[in-house]
Amino acid sequence: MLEKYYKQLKEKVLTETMPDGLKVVMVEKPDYHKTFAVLTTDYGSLDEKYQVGQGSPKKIPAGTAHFLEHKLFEKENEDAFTRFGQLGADANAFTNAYQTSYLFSTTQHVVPALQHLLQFVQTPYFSDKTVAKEQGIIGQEIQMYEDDPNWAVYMGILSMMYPESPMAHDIAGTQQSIATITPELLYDVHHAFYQPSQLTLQVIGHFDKLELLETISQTQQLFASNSSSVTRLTPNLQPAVNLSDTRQFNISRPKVAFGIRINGKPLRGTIVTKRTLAVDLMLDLLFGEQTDWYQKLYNKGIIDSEFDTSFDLIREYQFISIFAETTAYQALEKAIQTQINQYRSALKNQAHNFEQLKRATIGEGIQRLNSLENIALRGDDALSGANLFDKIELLQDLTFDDILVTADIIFQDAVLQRFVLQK
Amino acid sequence: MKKYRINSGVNLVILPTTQFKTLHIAVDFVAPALTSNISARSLLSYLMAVSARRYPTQQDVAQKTIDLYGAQYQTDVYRFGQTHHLRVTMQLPAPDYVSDGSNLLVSAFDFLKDMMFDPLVGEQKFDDDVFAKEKQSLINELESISDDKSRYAISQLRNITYDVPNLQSSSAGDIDLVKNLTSESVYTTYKNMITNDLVNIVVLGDVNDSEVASLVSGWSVPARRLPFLQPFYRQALRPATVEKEKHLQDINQAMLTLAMHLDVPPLDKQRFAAMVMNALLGGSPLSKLFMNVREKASLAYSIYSKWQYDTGFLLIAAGLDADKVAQTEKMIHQEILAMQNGDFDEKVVASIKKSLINDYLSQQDSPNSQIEIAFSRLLTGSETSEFEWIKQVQAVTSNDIALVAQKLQIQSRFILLPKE
Repeated sequence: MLEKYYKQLKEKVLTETMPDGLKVVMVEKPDYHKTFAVLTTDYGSLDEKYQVGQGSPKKIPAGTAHFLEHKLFEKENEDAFTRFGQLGADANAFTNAYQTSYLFSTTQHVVPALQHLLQFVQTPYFSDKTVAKEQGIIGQEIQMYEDDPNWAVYMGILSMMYPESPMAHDIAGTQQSIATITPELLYDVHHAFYQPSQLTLQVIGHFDKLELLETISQTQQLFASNSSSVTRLTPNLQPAVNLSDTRQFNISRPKVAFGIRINGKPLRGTIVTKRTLAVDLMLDLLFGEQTDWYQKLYNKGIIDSEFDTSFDLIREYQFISIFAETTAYQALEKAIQTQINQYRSALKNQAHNFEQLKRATIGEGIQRLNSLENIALRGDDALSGANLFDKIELLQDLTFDDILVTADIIFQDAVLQRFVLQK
Repeated sequence: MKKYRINSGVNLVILPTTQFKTLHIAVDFVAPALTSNISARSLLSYLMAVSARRYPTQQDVAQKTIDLYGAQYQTDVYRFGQTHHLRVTMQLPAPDYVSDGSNLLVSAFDFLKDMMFDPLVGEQKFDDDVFAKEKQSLINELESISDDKSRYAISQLRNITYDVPNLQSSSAGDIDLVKNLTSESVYTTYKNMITNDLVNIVVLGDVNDSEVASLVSGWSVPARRLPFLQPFYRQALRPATVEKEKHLQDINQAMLTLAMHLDVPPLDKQRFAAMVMNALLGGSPLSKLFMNVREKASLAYSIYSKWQYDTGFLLIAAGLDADKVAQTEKMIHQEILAMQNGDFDEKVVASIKKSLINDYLSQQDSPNSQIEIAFSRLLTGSETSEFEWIKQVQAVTSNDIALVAQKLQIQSRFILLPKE
């Protein structure tokens, strides 16, 4: 078992790889009453094409990862939730662009709950009947998302930045795409992406680590460990052509999203998290609540507390998105564009502000550590391998020079795109 | 829970713990919830979030929270039955985990004193610019409620459910009333709040009692004559169901919402049976509504029930296709009838109880839940120990569940439908 101690944070991370390739990460929190466990595969909605070994490439319809997540709970004779319920554990699951996770939280019966988690995720059962029923349920879920203006504006700007790419596809897919899902397809995908070597189990909270490891080791023996190599085939991204788009939607005030797509080679490893932290801080220095830029627009009523910036670096996708609710989106666009054009002078002499913001961002990171769910899910574990504690340490190492260098990478050829949702 | 009386009507509870990496200070200003004050108090929460004499602009406030190591300073409004709460909260990293943080607690108390008790005011009114801007922000927020279909449907349901106007509007206020507020009138509400409200303070973290007590004394919150507060609300049964439908453009799904009368006397032991009954009916993923209506019959994508202990109602809400509303409602009533007849699975009841106990114990891992529980104990003057709570949940029998379900009576229904 590997141990990493984070002195300032008083946290210890234990890591072990089981003989079949399952990775186990544990953080003991003896003060807590709860234990939170998450089983994750790095397979998400972006994975629309893959290859097993030297086999021929296979396509996956949009929405399959999410569909499979739903379906994995339903077994031949019962629902996986039932057993969690009997144990008094709260179970759930989610799918995002790059991972699918199954989780539970409990204050009692940790060992049987953990056995159940490992078993139900690694024991697929798909039939024509259950697949057909799920197509109905998810069809409704897709409609529900379509009624959500925040989701609509988010998907709107993603589709402009990455036209016709998996990133432009809703995580749940479309009615048409999920209609093509069959039990065979789900078995194939499960076989590839849910083999032990593709899975990571995180357990955080109140437990006995040796007892857990023993449980995991015994449970894993129930499953065949025929490891095969899986390659995710990445799409050729089309250039973004549209600078501005509008969609009609029944909302009280327009919602607007701006996007800046950053082209470049996909990054891997810790650099992903470092880049993300640097861009987040840089965006804060340029557009944060404490800036004159923000204050001026706030005072004019052009933006309000809904204004938000974010940066995502997910595999080959790298983009800034900016969200606001405003009727004056043209004025806002101009203000953002001006700030981007003069980013160098806007960042000049901000070394002191940077140090303050960095200290505050570290403080925010520390506040996040109260929650076991955050420790498991708010790190970049699935994206770059950096957990939430690593993120705080990486933040501590960040310098003002890093910000300036990053700003050049991000803004040198920046093209601002705009998507508006309005009546 | 140890309660310090700082002054008449001013209470302090300290929750010392080293479990967390944060410090928390929360202040609850409590007054009767009246249509005439809710909107102004809601706007006050906006004003107090962004300005004070020492921090005139929102930028100054933002800069100050940065200086305080990324502290989270927030104001919000809540309702518990007939009381309205303006709550000011602050969360900071615990000094142990940051460099040079030894003065953090004192600085936080100073900052809160400025924000709560030394506002940016001119001649008996708030600063005009700040006021105009925050008023508009609140109007925007209230207008956008209708963008969230589920929130909108529930607010419409509330409107037709309660007999008393004070209970009909949202704790965030009413848009037309907000439009009429002036800087002078809201300042009057502010002075009223500062002088007359019940003030409950909770501090959580690795702190020492005497230091906190002395810091709170430093706020000099004056003594007050306690307002007459009656948090719980109960309403008489109506002879007939009040019904309303509304069609909206640009929505795909319908929302079906029902308000059921559930008259359990406040603080009565029967509340434990009501809690289990609600979880069994629609308050958990193991519930009858979720398992039968959503999972088995595939009638609704989302469906849940929520017991409103403070007002004596049980809410049921479902998101579904418009052509399935009638069928779904029929099935909901069948499920309720089954509960009333004691027709449910004992094994599911056992699971539900475990899940409720799990949720209860899990709260101990969340500082915000701990603070919430402390405020609720201060408000209701009632405290149930962990041992007693678990014992009472475990003691609920199937008969208890059926009996409390028999109290359910439909009072109102609101349906939101897509325009044809």
